[in-house]
Amino acid sequence: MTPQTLRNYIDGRWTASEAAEAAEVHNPANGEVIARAPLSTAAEVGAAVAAAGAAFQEWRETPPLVRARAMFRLKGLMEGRFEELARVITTEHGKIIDEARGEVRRAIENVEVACGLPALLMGYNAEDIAVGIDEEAVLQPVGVYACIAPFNFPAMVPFWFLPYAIGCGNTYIVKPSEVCPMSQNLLFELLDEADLPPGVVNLVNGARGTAEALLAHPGVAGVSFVGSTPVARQIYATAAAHGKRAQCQAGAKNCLVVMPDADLARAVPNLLTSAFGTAGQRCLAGSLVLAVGGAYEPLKERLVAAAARLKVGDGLDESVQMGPLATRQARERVLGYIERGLAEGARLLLDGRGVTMPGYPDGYFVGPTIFDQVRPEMAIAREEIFGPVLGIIPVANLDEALEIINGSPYGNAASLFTDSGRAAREFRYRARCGNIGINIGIAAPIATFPFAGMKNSFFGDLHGQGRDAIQFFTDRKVVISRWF
Amino acid sequence: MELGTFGALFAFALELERRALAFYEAAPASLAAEARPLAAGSRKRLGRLERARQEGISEMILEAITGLRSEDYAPPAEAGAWPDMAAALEGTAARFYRDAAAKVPIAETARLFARLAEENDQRGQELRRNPPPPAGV
Repeated sequence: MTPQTLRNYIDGRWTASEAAEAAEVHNPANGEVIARAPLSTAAEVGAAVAAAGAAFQEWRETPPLVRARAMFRLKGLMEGRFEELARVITTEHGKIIDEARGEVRRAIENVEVACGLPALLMGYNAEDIAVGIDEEAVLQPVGVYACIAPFNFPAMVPFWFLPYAIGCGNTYIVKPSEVCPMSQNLLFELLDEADLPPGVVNLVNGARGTAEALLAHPGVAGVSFVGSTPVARQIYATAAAHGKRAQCQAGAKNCLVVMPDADLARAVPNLLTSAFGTAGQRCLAGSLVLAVGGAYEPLKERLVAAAARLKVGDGLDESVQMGPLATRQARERVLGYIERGLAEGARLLLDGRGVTMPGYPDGYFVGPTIFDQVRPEMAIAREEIFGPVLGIIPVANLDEALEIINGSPYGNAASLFTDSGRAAREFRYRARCGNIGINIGIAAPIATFPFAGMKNSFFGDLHGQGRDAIQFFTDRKVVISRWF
Repeated sequence: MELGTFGALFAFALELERRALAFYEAAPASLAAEARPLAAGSRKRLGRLERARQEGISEMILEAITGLRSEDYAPPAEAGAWPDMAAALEGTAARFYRDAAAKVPIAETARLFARLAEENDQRGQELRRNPPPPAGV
């Protein structure tokens, strides 16, 4: 199959990029090049911003109900191409087809919430703030927004933002990940079919240079980013320096605390899903198990036995439970962390390094890997590995577990497995993380809730999804009136 | 084949329904009146399963499903009379959905499978209570 060269979608038209360079997109199950993503130029970014800017006035005057109808059309189109979208995600990213279906569903859920924006965009008012004087607050769109998207949820993440942005009356530009751009390109085919006015949504393929052009462009009012902590910090600072709003979701090191009273039969599958789902390439992935007291020994045995049974392979095979890593470089990085863990004295209970897939000699596979005797100061306990590597740390009690969680520079998510309401209350109250799971391994907020994150896991104040999204994509204007 | 994942389970359930639909659609003309509602029911069930596969997965549960194999729900031999084969198809499907409902870790899916098994039971009972005339009569 000849790899397709992706095009940009600017001002309602698909256009070939004039960029001299392109990034190769690989199928991580077999290493084949399946597409080329142009590294679009600053001029092409400028064209997208100009188109979005030109479309803004008419779009913001379009009644919210009419804008919502476009969201309903888009939802229908996404449902109609559901399986195709899921298969494209698996092919470009490697995650198993069920996870890809879950990702498509999460993207659709955000469109569904945006269908309700006409009600959510209503302001509020008060009569007689002084005698004969009334005050009201109205929500108004801001202008052109952009999203710089990650590779790990290539279809879903831009949809944490785009439906809300345009539903609120803004116009939008997506720069998909150059590693996994194909599902976003397919989604833009659907946006094209939804027949939005030209310029309301735009897609510019590219990598770092393209993102930097978007960040520096004076026509962009705000930016949403999801990716690693160093890049998020830099994007937040750059956006602020250019006077833009920014919400930057960043890296994580999430702990899964298991109390002695936890139902291990129920907890273990949750822990496995959290650690090894999407081959650990989720910002909500659990990468450390903090086993409290007597939970340690039985948990360790069960975890290793269950993880060893996970079927690794091509995500398009329905029977497979864990796919490859997204890139060759990611595989090398993860293998490097396993070496570091060994060098630092952790004990390897399950080694995923030697995994080979018959028929897939060039795939980027690493099997489930579990370390024991991990100490909080080790690199594998402190740094985000973003791969299928789980460390187990025995702790004496919940206080010690909370100390480790709160001592981490990250604060994306933490989960507790227990039968005790008191322990659960203590945990949710004290853990300084944005997404808390109680007997839930992946505390992924649905579209009506913000995707929270604290400390170095988030830069900004308003998060993606939910009410936060509406605040991020609007200005609140207060009108105080008196009639003589 | 081991039906060890949510996706494998649904792929097999869809295959069972397609098998039933093809059987009812290929019924001899003399049995069309009996087969038509059964075929319509199978089409509806296919849609319901496809929706459940796409809507029930957002928790992304990796929990392995154990002890279910597709070979245990093989289609009946094609030698029997049409009503007997239809009843056997319904019986096999009911058994599969009941077994799967007990093992699938997602409550919504377990409920759906239990409901489908009940429908299969009803369809099977109906076929036994009012057997259609033999083909060609």
